[in-house]
Amino acid sequence: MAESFMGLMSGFSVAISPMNILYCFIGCFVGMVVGVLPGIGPTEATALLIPLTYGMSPVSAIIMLAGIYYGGMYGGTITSVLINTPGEAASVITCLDGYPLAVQGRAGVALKVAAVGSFVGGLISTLGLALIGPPLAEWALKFGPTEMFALLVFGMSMVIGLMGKSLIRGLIAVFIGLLFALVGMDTVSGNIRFTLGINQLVGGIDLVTLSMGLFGLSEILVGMENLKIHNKAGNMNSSKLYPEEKRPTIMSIIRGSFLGFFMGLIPGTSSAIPAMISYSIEKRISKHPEKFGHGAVEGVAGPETANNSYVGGAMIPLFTLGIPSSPTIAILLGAFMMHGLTPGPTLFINEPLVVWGTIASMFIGNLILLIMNVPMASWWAKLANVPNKLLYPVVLIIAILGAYTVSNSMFDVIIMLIAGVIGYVLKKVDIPMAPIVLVFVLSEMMERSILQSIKINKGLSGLYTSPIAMTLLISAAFVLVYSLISELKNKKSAYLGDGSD
Amino acid sequence: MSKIIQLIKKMNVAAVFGVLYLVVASWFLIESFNYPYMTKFGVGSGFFPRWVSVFAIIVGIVYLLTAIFKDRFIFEDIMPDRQGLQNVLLVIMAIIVFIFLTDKTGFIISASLLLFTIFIREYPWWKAILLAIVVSTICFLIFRKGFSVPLPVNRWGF
Repeated sequence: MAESFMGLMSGFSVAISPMNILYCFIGCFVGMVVGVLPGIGPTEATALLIPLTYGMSPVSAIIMLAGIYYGGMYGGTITSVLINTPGEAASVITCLDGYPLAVQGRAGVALKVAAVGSFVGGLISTLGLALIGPPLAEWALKFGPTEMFALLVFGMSMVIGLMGKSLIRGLIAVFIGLLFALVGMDTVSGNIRFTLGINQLVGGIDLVTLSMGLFGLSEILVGMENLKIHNKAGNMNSSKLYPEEKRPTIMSIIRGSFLGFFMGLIPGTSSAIPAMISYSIEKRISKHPEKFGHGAVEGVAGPETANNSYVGGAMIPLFTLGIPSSPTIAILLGAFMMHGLTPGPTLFINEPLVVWGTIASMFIGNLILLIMNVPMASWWAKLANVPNKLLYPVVLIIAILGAYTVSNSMFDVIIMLIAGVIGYVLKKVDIPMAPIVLVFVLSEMMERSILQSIKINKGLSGLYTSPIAMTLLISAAFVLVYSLISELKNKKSAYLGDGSD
Repeated sequence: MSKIIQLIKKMNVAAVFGVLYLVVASWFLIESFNYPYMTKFGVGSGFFPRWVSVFAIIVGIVYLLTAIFKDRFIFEDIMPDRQGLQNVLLVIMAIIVFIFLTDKTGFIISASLLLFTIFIREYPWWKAILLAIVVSTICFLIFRKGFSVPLPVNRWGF
């Protein structure tokens, strides 16, 4: 505890430098913008902006990119409430009660409650990250290659089980990610594989380029199908809670904070899941469940808190195990590597200022977002009025520039184009996109750990002699079987979507 | 011609995707035999790809079977309307032209051309030209001057 406190204090000394506050503000601002604009989410924005952080110090870059992630969660709420269009997946559920509140002239209430809930959720989960992160990292140091391989298999099973509506489509996505990751130099032996003789592929397919294609360009192509869509924002009148709404709202914010944080710890979840669970809990325990769907304030407060709180929780597997729990976190992991940092248990020891600086900046970022949101919500809503016919071409040129900057060559633009077309096709056949990127990131670690495990144990015996590995593998099997049974009983929710943030 | 289009429209798109996926996974499996499975130091660089591609093929076969017998959906259900399809193909073609043109014409001209081909479908010609030039120039200035990205330029420096 004392160690965490000291770390946090040193983190604040980094985070409050004028430049880092500026980068935090830029990250939050960009996150808000992409959250507000339907069709572009934090995943695409993070991928687009990574190349621009090359010249920055690692801590500033991570502070800015993390700001985009949690800023996007705030921004998505505004369009859900005012124009019934979620800016990102986590805010889908907010439409159910946020928009009816806006129709009743109480959009101000919905936005204020969402902003305060997001702030509280963000603070509680960041505090949780500061407290749980270091001991978990210490525990993770005991993991050998066998345990790490089992953990990765478990993580992948969660990705397959929780993301998307079909187990088989999830598996297809996982293997697409694994096959993509095989291209390039094998880091264990140095052999060059599956490059088709193309020299630029020796280093493998770049994560940022792949993500920009799969998420960004494919979204643009889908958007190009109908450029006529034009959103119109509503007006905000009252912004005060009724006295009888105050207690249930506060309680839903507290519940949402803890729910989101713990869901963030589970690899393979997305911020849409805690939001959805929070909504169903709030409805179940409410004295007036009939109000849900017609403008219940708890229906906005709980899910919005949960999706922001999720972000802090999701950072824990990244910081302590080097495992991303969502696509945006996977891209953040790519940013860590690009800046010469290796996420995992040693990060707290080797780069304490980066870790604690980022954690401390999240406190500051949440405060910035609260200030940006409560008085300025109507201004943000106007941004959603940008017509698609202008928005998509502009995003397209930014995506092309983003891909070009990866290695200052048109080759990355070609790869992005191919990935974009593949992503478009995958969207059409309902294959979830998020597992591809998550598995792509984990694949190299997975191959290295299984090869090392085989070498150490002279075979695969380590997988069933190590209690930790065995437990994780059994859990993975349980998740897959449970997911299959749920699917057969048609219990999987359509809200799970493709698991993007 | 219209008969062929009708035939394509009724085609099971999930099954087509399944076949393509299996072709790619099979290529990975065949290719994996070019890399050593075992070396004197232990397992080789062919070990992981071989198992990954074997499992990928198994998953692909299950997917194909479900696509044929259970989750059938046809091209007609997922394809955009004529205008939408034209827009999508236009963007892809415009990016390809951009890729080949940029080194010769410089970024601003090729990006303006790319944007113009998209804007012209929704805006009057003069607005489309103006928007294309303004957006490309702003992006050029931000990335080249602001972030020092060495974007391709022509002999006049843009």
